[in-house]
Amino acid sequence: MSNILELRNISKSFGTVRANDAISMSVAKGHTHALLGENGSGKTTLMNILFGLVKRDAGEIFIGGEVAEIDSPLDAIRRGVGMIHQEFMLIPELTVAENILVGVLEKEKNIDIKAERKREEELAAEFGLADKLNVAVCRLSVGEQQKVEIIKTFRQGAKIIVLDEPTSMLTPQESDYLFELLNNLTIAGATIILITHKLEEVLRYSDDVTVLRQGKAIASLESKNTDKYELAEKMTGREILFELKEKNTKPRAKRVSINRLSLTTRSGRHILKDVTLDIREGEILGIAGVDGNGQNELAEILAGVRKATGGSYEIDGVPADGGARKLSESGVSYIPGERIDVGCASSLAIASNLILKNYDMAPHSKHGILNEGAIKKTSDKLVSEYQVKTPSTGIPVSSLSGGNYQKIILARELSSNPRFLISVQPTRGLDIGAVEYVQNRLLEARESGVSILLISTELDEILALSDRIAVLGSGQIVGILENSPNINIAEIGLMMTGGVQHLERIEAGGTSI
Amino acid sequence: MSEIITGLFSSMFALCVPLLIAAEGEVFVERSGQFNMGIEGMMVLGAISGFAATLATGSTLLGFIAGGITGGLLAIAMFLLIYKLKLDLLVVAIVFNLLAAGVTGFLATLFINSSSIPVKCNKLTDLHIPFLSDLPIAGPILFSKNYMVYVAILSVPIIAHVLYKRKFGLELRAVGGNASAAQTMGIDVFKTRMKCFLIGGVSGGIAGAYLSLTLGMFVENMTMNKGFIALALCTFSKGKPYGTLAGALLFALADSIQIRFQPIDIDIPYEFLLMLPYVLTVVVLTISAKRSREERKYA
Amino acid sequence: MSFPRLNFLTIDRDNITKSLFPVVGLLLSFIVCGAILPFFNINPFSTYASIFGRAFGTMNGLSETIGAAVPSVIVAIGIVFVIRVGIFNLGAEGQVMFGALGAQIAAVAFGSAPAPVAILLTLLGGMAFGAFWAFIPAILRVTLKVNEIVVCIMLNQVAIYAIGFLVRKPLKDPNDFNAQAVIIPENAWMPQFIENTKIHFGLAIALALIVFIAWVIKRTVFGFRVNVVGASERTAVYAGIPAWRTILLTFVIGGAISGIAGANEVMGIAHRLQATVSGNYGWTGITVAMIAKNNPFMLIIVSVLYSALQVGGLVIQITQHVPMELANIVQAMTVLFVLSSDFLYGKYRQRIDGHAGQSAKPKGELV
Repeated sequence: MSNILELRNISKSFGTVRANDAISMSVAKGHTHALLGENGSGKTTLMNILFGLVKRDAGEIFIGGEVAEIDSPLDAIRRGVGMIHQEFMLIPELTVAENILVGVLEKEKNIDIKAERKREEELAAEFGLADKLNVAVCRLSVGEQQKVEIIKTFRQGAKIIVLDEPTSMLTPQESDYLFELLNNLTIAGATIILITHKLEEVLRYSDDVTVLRQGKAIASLESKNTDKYELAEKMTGREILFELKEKNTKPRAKRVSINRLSLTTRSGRHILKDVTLDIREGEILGIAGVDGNGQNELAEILAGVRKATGGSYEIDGVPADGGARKLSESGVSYIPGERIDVGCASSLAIASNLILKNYDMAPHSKHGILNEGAIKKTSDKLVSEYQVKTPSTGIPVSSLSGGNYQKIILARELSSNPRFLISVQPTRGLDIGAVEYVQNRLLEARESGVSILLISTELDEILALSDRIAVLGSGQIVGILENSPNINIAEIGLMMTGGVQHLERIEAGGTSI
Repeated sequence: MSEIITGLFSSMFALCVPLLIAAEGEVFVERSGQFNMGIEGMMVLGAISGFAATLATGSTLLGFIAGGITGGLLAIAMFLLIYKLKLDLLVVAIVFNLLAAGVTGFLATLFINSSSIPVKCNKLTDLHIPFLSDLPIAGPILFSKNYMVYVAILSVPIIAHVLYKRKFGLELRAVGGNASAAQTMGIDVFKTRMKCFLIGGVSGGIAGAYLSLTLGMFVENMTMNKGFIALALCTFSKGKPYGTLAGALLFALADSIQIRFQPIDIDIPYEFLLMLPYVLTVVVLTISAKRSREERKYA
Repeated sequence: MSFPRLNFLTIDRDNITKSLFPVVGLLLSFIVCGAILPFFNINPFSTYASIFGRAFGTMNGLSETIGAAVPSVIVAIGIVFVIRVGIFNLGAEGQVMFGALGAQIAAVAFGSAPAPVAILLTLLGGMAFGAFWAFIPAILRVTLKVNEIVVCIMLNQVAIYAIGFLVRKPLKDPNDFNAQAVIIPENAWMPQFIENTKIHFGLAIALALIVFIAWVIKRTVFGFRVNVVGASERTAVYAGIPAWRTILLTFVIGGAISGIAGANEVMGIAHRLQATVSGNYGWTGITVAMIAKNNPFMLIIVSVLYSALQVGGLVIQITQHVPMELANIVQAMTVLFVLSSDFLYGKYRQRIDGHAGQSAKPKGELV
């Protein structure tokens, strides 16, 4: 089996951070090769180097046995490398056809536009997008957009296709379809490199795996000869125990009551429809669902940042209406899905971010004037309590690492002793140490009686932390299940995709609630 | 009556030119995701260099070329400062506008306005096309203009063609739509942006030259912030070539009305008439913003 | 300790080095211009000597310089304040003019009141009119997201025509054939610090404003909101801070401050509204703000230097036939050099300190 791609001793530093440290990797032709690592391990940097988006400091790239000098995406494309990023690289205003055309135009000098058009039509038909060729990309669904990305890469003649976390925005069923597609591509001669942090994907779909940790290539294994324990250990450097976190079994009183909450746009689109949920004291209700089904909007409504168009919601029997600030003062805390420049203002000092929701109350201020001493006291206390690594609280919060940045948000939101905590994607993009920390804090909050709504696209996280799980599909609650160690994951996956149909089936025949 | 209307529309075509040229250049800038705040500086530099070139050579064509070159040079300087030195676009634009105003004022005071008799250069003259120019109504309105009017108006379909049917147009729209995506598709974002900004600068320079060459004079501050009106026009029509043309004609019509009524002074002080284009621009921007908001609601 | 965002009143190593930039920039501009002037048969040395000789050498000149520096400083502090909320107030010129208009009207209306009252009311009149002229771009920006930059520039132009008209017709002094308004009642005149000079009470107002605005930004709840909104509007919305209200209020206050500068002109210098009342103070104030940024001492120093250029420039036009626009050119060029030095300094610090400023990438990968 010949190696179609060889990376030798690739190194890259950003300032003092060594993103890639002499990484060597060999990819066999026609294989699906997984690149596994935590966030921050350097996998995207490595692939960005391969694709010409980033210039390497040292090392060589060999494609098909020959040295390849790649200094720009165009070079990479000409060498047969295609990359599909986590955030789709499509031009929203242009049509599907135009998006594909751009890529080809750049690669080849002279094209017969008519012949090209025909080829695009054929490809689109194969992928089921024949009728969408002249539709602007912004109007397509996420799955459809990904297909356009694949067509585009294919049309550019990519022999090596790199996919960066392709399933992060897909339902389990859509993911299965994707991998079937990729398998067909490998049969046709393509080589796939799969960047992922999901162990399941590596074990199920890849032939080989290279594990990166902190910029170094730790191991190169054949997927069928390893298991998730070994992979996890190599990925993190320590033993990971895959067990369910302790669950709370005591029944408690209902606290948060959400009744038929709806959000409808003026054009009649239902972003949320008749969402009815309740959350008890000391309970974590997890909402599973692929991004784009209304989760963010639900969180915003509950936190007071957005207004619903219908329905109501109460906390401890009292209607919870009013803006974000009023709700915050009445005990609602919100950890938003977007950290940077939403959860915290990056250029503001750490201390300022910590008092974002009570800057105008005693002791932080009096009669409209800030009390710097009191503010410093509060921030120092929180920073030490939450183990945030920083030389001072007066420096901008942007100087913190991802995990510490999140800790500031956590510190602020938890220290106000909320009754109800809304937490969206709390561990996205964090390294394992930070993930554990955040999850433990959430569990602690649960123990002390806080009602927690956990919204996450990571099903593993939902399964690990929730007492009950609700699935949001197309803005509606499709089903609510009690969490248990033998919960039927397939059923959840079905609910996530089936959406409304499943809801109707439940109402007709009944399933677990 | 028909004389008034003929005169009105006749001046409309003559007056629309600077706005049109600047705004159409801005189409390239805005569709590639940029905003040329320095357009005033480019216009005023274009005005003085156009004047100087025509004064020296007697040819208005060379005047336009000189104007285009100076506008283009300023654009490149701005572009490099913004993208290479990563300075803030707005600040650089303000500085360059001030600098251009200062330099042109300086040169004007030294060379042009030093004596009591203002220096003049060759003006743009109206063409006389046999037969066509002698048609009633249509003659003076459409066929007896200076050559730049025709160049400006005929450039619109060419621009539309390039924008929608040519590789460069596709590339720049891609960059304007999603620059990082465009990069991964192999487009050289930096070069594309620079070319568009350059086009904006050259257009601004030519537009400025038109201002001085129609009068045959250079007066300090003669651009009167009209460059920003061109920006607003382009934004209002969302960077569409024909929409921008319509906007430019509309403004020119308003201008034309204002000029006709000035000497009459029907109880409307001339200052209010002069204010008209600027107030109109604010109105136009407001309507444009309102429309965007409506659209976003329906998204 | 230094927070919330940029250090306004604290002095540390960075600040000291950075405050040299304006001076360096100015020197570089002088050198560059000085190198080019000979090509126009202008002697740079005698020109510069004249400028500074005039501006600082004579009592008259010094008074003019300080008289011109005061409105520039006032406008600059207003610009700095509004920048904190993330808006660049380019409408300062128009707001200054309207402030002068407001002062004229208020002075004539309340001129019969005892002096302190008349002065206060006149100042308030200036602030109100200046605030109004800022309210237009502010409300459009906040409710409809209209580009406030273009609106400001348009309104500057409108202000020129409006004031021009007003001094030509309705407000014109019937006893004067020049187009200017009547002289305001003496009770509304700014008390002079030094007789027969342009150094008047406005100076105290300017200094007080600097201290006041610095205090507001750093120490008040309102200032905190301004900082948050300016840092990240989305964060403000998330935290329940009324972003649009804060922006509107700050912008309007900025207009009021520009209005004070205009009122200052009418009350302290010309004692009447004139078409040229703005004297370019709007733009001078903006350039001063761009250079001095957050440093109050530099604000004052740069304003004085810029005014010196302005004042000196007028003279050299007459005595040496050197166009006064030279002053504007030097001013603009200085900003350019200062900005470039910021950039170069940043690169230099990167090299020396090693880190590229630990920019967090909480999204995970270092790309």
